[in-house]
Amino acid sequence: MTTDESDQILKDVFAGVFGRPIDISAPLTREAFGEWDSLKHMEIMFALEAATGREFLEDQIAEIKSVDDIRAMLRS
Amino acid sequence: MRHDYRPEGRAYRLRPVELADAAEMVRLRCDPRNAKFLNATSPKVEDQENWMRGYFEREGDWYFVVERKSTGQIDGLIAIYDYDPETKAAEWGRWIVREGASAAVESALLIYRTAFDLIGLDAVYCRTLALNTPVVSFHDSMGAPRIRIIPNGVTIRDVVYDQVEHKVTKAQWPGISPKLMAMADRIGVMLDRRKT
Repeated sequence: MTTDESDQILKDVFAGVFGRPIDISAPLTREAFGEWDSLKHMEIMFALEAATGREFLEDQIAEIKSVDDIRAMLRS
Repeated sequence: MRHDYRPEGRAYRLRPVELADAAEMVRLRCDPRNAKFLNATSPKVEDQENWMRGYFEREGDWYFVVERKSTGQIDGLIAIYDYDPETKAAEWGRWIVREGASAAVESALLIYRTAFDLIGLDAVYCRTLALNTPVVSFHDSMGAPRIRIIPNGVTIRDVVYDQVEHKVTKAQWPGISPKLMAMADRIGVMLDRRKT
């Protein structure tokens, strides 16, 4: 998956989960973005699974602290 | 108070806290990630045990361990307390989820089920430090109505904080629970996956 492809998926997933466009070009982290709560986190992960056809494990999901972490996970 | 409520979900169960849990409770409460939002907790296990002996005698207070069904691991703590028999309402809180655990959604689901189906409450509310934005947001995300801001609602280590109150009534619960139930089921499926 190219960076452009993964970023488009990220944009779509975040917009779907949060109900509005989210600027994923910024260094977005869970700590700084309070709306990224544990329920939303699971919604993001399951939406990513649906968009990519991949399945993520609990450890992988727990390690995600930022959009950059998601990018790294999608590249792996 | 001593009780025997043991609600079970797909991946997690709640069970009554026991004296033997005191050390793990101290570990969870003293974890710096959690401690900043909690009343000060002594790091001494015997102090926790003494607090628990008082809790066992206190009516209208149900304290639980959040336990992973597959392993028995303690992944969190949660409680219902300050029961008011006139309004049949109580607060839920003392909520801690171990870092890296996936217990938040199902423990919330189970505490509401406990409140409405087991204890028989008519309403349950939660007061969260306003600056604890991920937890405030969790309540918003699950659909719990945000009732009010309580200015200077709580003092922790001599600092006064506003609180955000969410409240769910028994009548509202059937409209709120499906989202949590569906997410808890999906998380349960995810937790069943094994590394290959």
